[in-house]
Amino acid sequence: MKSMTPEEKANGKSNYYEAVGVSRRDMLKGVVASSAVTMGGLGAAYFGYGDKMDNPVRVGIIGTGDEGGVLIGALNPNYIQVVAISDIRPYNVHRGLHGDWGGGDPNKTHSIRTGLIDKYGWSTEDEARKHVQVYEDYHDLLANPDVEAVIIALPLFLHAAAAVDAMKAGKHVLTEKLMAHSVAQCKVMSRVSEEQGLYLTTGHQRHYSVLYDNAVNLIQWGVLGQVHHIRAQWHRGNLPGRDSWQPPLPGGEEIVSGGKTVVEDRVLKELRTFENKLKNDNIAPAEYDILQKKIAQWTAWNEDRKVAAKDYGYEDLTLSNGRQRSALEELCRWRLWERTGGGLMAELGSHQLDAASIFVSALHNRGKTRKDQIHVHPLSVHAVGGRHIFALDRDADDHVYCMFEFPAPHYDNTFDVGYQDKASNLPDPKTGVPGYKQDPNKKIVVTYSSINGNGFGGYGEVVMGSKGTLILETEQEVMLYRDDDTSSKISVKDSKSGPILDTTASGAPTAASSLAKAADSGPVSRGYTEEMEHWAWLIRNADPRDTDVDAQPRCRPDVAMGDGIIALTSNIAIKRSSRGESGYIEFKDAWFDIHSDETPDDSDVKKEYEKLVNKT
Amino acid sequence: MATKKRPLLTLLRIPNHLLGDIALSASPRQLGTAALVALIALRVGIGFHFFKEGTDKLQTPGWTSAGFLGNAKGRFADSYHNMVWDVDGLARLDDGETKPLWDHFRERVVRIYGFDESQTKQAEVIFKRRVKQLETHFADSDRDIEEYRLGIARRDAYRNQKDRVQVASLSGQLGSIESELKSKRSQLVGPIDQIWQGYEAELNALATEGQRHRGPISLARPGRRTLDSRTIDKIIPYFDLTLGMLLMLGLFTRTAAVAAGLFLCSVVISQWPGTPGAVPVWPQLIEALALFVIAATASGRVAGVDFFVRLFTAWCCPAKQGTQS
Repeated sequence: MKSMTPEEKANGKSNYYEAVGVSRRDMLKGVVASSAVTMGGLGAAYFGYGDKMDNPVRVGIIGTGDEGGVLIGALNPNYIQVVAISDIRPYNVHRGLHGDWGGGDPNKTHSIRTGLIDKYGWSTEDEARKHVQVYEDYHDLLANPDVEAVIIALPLFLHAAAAVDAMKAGKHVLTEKLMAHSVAQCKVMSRVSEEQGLYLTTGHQRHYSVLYDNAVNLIQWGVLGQVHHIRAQWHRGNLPGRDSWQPPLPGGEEIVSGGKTVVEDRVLKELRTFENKLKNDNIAPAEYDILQKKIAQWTAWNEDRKVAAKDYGYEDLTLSNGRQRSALEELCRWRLWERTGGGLMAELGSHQLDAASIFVSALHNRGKTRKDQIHVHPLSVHAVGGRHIFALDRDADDHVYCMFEFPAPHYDNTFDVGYQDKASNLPDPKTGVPGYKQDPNKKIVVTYSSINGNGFGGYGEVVMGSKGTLILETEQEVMLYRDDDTSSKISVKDSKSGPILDTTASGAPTAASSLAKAADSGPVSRGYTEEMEHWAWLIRNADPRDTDVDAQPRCRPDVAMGDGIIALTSNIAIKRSSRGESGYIEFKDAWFDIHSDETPDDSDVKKEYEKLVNKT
Repeated sequence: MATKKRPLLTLLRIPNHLLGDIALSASPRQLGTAALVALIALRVGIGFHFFKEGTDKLQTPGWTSAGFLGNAKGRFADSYHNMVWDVDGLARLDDGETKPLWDHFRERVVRIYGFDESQTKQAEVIFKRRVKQLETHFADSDRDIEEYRLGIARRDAYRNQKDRVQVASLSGQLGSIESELKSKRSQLVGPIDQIWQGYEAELNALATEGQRHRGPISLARPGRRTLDSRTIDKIIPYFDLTLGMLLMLGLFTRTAAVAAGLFLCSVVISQWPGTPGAVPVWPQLIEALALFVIAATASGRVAGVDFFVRLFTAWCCPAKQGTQS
């Protein structure tokens, strides 16, 4: 976010922890308490709550690549028993089972993408395969009657087809975000889940992050006053030649070297390097083990060159810059093209607009019961974007800038907005501050930028209110400031209160302080574990047809579709402005209604329904 | 089964109908010398442990059982938590409750000690100064207190949501919300406790040497219940101390050993074994089992005062033969 000194950041963090209830001294411990607790299931038991389901849900994972691997790493075996996986890439099957040993710090990568063998404590791949059926085609996985529910982590354009197929086969679905490739697909999926009476949830994990939950509460309590602006951004250090969306292509690709076009196979080259290293006698034992794991992983990766991508819906294409793209490349780098992916807005923006919606909704839902709460969607979007640094080998923009107008809530006269203009009678002592419904001027504008470049600023969200500012950084840190002042800590005690501590009582620990327990350290859970556990718990303990909020996942179809509509509509706005037209689009309520056939992106619900459900 | 002699009488006599045929009272004399020495060492050792626990608690100003009760985990955790006095601190954070209690206390102090005019005036000055301190603290922390109250309301709402309690990771989040509230509470309530304690101590300190024997007078706290941690805090140190001495002396050994053993069992249960996050309670469990061994072998009658107790009871009220089979 904005460049701040470490002192300023520390102030903000301590302010946040004082507000949520952690002393400055315990700040670091407090931050991470949630996750240590979450990851070990420690907290559950800590307070004597249940931490186990008698009968874990038998799940098939469709797609065990980058994201599928993260989900495997985060899942709780007490809730989910993975009984099948499917992926058309040998590389992904290998990583799904063995975990990922790539990256600059293989141990760290592996702690995130753990793989099923380590997750369930199996000793070998053979043992794992006794418990987990491995399929190439997900249709075969869906035919397995032992599978009760599926997690879908496929490229975006396949979400709808796989989800509908799964639900038609009677399986509950947790699909990765974005919900689907078009709004019509989102609607078809939502309707099928209703028709079949099955759970359909989407992986916008912020709905399950305790940091966002805390932030929502602070906003609802009025700590920020009247929220008037939200700024969100995701700036990635991602430059041509080392694009994370363009991983090495198995089988190699043509590159220009010394003026000549040659074929370079980076996967094979790295594999050979590892193999040669292993022959070195002086290799340290720890490195030796990891090298062996890497060789196995890269060997599987190298096998990807044989994948018949065309049989699974991937296509060859001549790109705008004249380069020939193979179906295999489309499979491996699907995020780059519109046909298969949704660009920055789908991959990154959707999460943060989801967060913005959560914050705005929090204000609208102040004082409402859980059942009456609404998920607010924006009124309009203005957007521009383009491929400003990368080659024209892709559809995905590398810079996008969007401004969303959200309706502001009404603040009643008991709400302290922290300002008073008596000349204009603002806020009115009788009625408070009007919302958008009473006064159409009252809006909250959310600005969003997603940039591939030097990565300055990182990613996060800034919520500005009339009384303070809340900054959420990288889903890990929260900072709270009164007004615009980053230099001072809030809750500064009155200096007159000094003598309070100078009493005749001894300095023995008081009852309250002896109750406080220091927390362990570790990163904050981003919400993946919570999202999967909750889904599994609902499958076992609730009825999907029950519309009660307590019986539904937090990112239920209409909520997920709302996030999808924001991302997909922004993409249309960007495209329009790139053509020199207006990049302004007003959102229509009907788009957000699952039962309306209206869509912003010209996708046709009836046609999609025929295609996805009736296969015609 | 061969009829063994029941102990003729000890103050701890478990009614026979409860014992049936269990040969509870085999004479310790039937044990070898080494076993006897080991038993006595065990009894004295555990006794010393209890004695030490008691004196340590008495010597630690402000010692409280609230931490132990509040950190209970597992099956019976709620019962323990509910015993903590003003567990959320809400009674202490309610400044409306303070003044009447303080006023009443000041009146009592003046009356019971029989303060003269100057002492009464001093008491008034102290009262005003402490009220000012408290007011300043409340004024400084009003925003925090408000947020803390909202936090408590949020926690209570979450506790009523089934998913937040039953789904492991979500209840983990609730756990972290609860522990964050705990440390928030200590920031807010800590100074208040100090002011209350200070006020109580200062007024008591006004008493002259001659008046002091009528005290100390204690200041009633808000939000009290019959058996809460403040009551327990008064009992436990003496409980430990007494049991420790009895065990070391070998006096009323059975009663003492059973009481101490049951007390330790309550500690074991507060950290319900198998609950992840619970503190290991092996030492307490094993000490409790050892105490039951001491009770079962009536080891106080060897190298203990119970030997004389037994002689005395045998002399004054001999048991009738044949009533115990």
